[in-house]
Amino acid sequence: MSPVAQQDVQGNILCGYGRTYRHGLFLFLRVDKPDAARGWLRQRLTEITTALPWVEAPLATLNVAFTFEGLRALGVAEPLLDRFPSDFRQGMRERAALLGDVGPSDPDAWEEGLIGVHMLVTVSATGPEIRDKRADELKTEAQAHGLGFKWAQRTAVLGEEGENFGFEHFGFRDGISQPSIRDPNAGPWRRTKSDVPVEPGEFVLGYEDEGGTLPPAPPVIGANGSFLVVRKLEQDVDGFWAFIEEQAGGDPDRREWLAAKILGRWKDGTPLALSPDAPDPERAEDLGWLDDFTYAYDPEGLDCPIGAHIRRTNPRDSIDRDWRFTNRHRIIRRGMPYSPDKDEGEDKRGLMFACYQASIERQFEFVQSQWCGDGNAFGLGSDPDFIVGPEAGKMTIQGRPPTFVPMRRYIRTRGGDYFFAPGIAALGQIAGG
Amino acid sequence: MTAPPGSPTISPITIITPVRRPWSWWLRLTWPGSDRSAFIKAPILRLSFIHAAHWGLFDRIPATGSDPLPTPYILFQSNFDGRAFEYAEAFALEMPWRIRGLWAGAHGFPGPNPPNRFVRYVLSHAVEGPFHYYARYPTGTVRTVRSALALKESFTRFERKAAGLDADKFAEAWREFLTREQRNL
Amino acid sequence: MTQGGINPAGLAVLLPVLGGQEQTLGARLEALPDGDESPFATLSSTHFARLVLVPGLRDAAERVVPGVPALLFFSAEFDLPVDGYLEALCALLPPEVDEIFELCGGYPGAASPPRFKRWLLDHRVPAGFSIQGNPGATAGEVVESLALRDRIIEFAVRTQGLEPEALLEAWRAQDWRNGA
Repeated sequence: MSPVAQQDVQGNILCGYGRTYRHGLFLFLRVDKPDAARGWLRQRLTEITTALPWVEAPLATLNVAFTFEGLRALGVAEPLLDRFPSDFRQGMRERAALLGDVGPSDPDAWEEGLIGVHMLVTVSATGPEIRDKRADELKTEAQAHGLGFKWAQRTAVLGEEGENFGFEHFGFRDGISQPSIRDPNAGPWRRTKSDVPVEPGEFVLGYEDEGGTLPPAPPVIGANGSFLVVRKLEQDVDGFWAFIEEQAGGDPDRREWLAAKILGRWKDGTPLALSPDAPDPERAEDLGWLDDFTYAYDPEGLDCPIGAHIRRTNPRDSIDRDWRFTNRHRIIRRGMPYSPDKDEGEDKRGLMFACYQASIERQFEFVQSQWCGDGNAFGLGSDPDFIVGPEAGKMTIQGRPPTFVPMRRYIRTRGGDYFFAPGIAALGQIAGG
Repeated sequence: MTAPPGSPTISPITIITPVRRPWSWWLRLTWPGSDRSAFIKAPILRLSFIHAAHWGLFDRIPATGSDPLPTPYILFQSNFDGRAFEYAEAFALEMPWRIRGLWAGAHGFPGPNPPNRFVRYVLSHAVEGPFHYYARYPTGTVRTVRSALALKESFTRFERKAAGLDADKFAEAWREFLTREQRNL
Repeated sequence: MTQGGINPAGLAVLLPVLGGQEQTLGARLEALPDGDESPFATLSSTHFARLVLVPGLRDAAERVVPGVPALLFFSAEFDLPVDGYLEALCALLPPEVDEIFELCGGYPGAASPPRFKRWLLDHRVPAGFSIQGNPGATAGEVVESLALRDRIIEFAVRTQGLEPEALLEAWRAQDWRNGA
């Protein structure tokens, strides 16, 4: 097994930048003048943040990714383009029905700035001023280099500075669980005792995946790249809590209990699997404890409901004891919340969801459509996930007796796409034209 | 309740693989016993996504009077929940020796490990092209059908028990029914 | 559960396509309506059915085997014994399926049920090893059970939290066999 070539992989894929980088930017661009755009890429090549450990941590990072149409617009040869998998070639908009993006989340209602994107430039910064300065610089550069501006989404971790995990807008601690990578240099090796590490090939092309071979990748520009899914998910926070309140009959304890059962964690991140009756704020400060649990001991879902959000999105050992099926469908999440922002014309709040994987269809789409869009994999019939599933059916909170929660959807997809984050050498090839 | 978009609908797959002639003799010899063996079938059934699957053999085009084919073929057809990739991978992960027992003598069979190679082999032999498929209960997955059938029996018993109960006793009996059947609901 | 249930071996048939008719047959297959409009929906004992155009066979070296015509693969899973199913198929044969079978060699038409049956059985590839996920249930029982499950779930969600009297009243008002 060859170790991951960290110098050639973009940063924030296998190993996150960490909570010091609490301020983010998603800059969506179009390639209007390919030569000029490639020129900009060539100039920026040495500034792209890689997966190498830092000698000195930068104030802000820089990464790029492209949609399929973006690669084509930059002049990547058709024979290479043909070797990309069909999920990436089609793009998220074409696959909206599979993802449950219907009704208010239908692509016809997506934000214009998130449609027809070619390039995504991401920045993670240690402070908002640094992020905003970079944003202005990049927008100016883009304009000067034939890159049309589509949209700039500013994001920020919610919560106190210095905390290890931030919150999302519904009020739950987020980003706690990520796959361990079976490469001691390139990612967290084993984050908890119960965790089963995942082959790097599940996230980066050019390495063996859990199926024992190299995932399909286009030649020349595939190696050390990764597919990035980005979705802007607007959250109806008031609606969510009003519904929970109503279901709880106005009882505040029952409200907290109900919300925790839907998520699989209490608001402070305490997992139900470790503390089903109440949060444990003291132990919740222990990062190792927060994620060190399994589900096989609880097949009936009496501690953590079988359909709880975190149990669906990472079933751990509940499908098989060795995590073999689970580890074929892991994603690395790198999203960040966004909030109302008058300067950028944003009046809502939500999550810029972002995840990396080697196969969009087998990983992100599978989790979204099979594990969250439906309940059959868990013996739950057609019950979807309450958080990101469609508004149909109900959720069962197992118990004596069980509690049924009618499905409502408080997330609205505002847009997004499938991107490819090439390796550094591949970026050079693309920029070379 | 209508199934939400993206629900696994039942899918067909048809796979035709050329096999070595002695292997076809071995299969003809062993299949009758295997077909009656609960032990051999148990892990396949536990996968819980196969509605109906069959393996057959042919070494000439039936009833055409034509010469025997240069090589015999296994004809495999299945009606299953989900997608072909996951289906083939589950086989490779869960029952490698049963896969060998079926396909070991097939030309080009790479073995069940690594799973990716087996999946590619299976999918490369899947018949692609015009087809028509009908499923009487297209979103009734194997698990849901099992739940529904079990629930129907249990509910029939509950209906009999519930007849004539007063409100309080009925409410208690209903709670017990829901508690007992929650995994089928 | 009533006696019977799905036929454990099903039916699998390989029919040679008449020379030069492959494209026409493919087009007719793709024109067949789906779902409840499928021609197989008229046979209530059908669980699953498929018609697949097999363009030819490949040998061990992945080369097309010469002299082998395109084949129509017809398979079905059903409740009745095979004979009974084929008799029902013949009696109710939808015209679209007749127009597909007529592009296959030796098709006798549906006017004579014994000849129709014989033609299909002669082209049968018997199942050597079979798996049935829910062996005991007929297609009708499955459909009825799924519908009842939906009604039970809807009732359970709707009446959650009701006082005993209101719950009993709702129970008595519910038509369990035919919906609300």
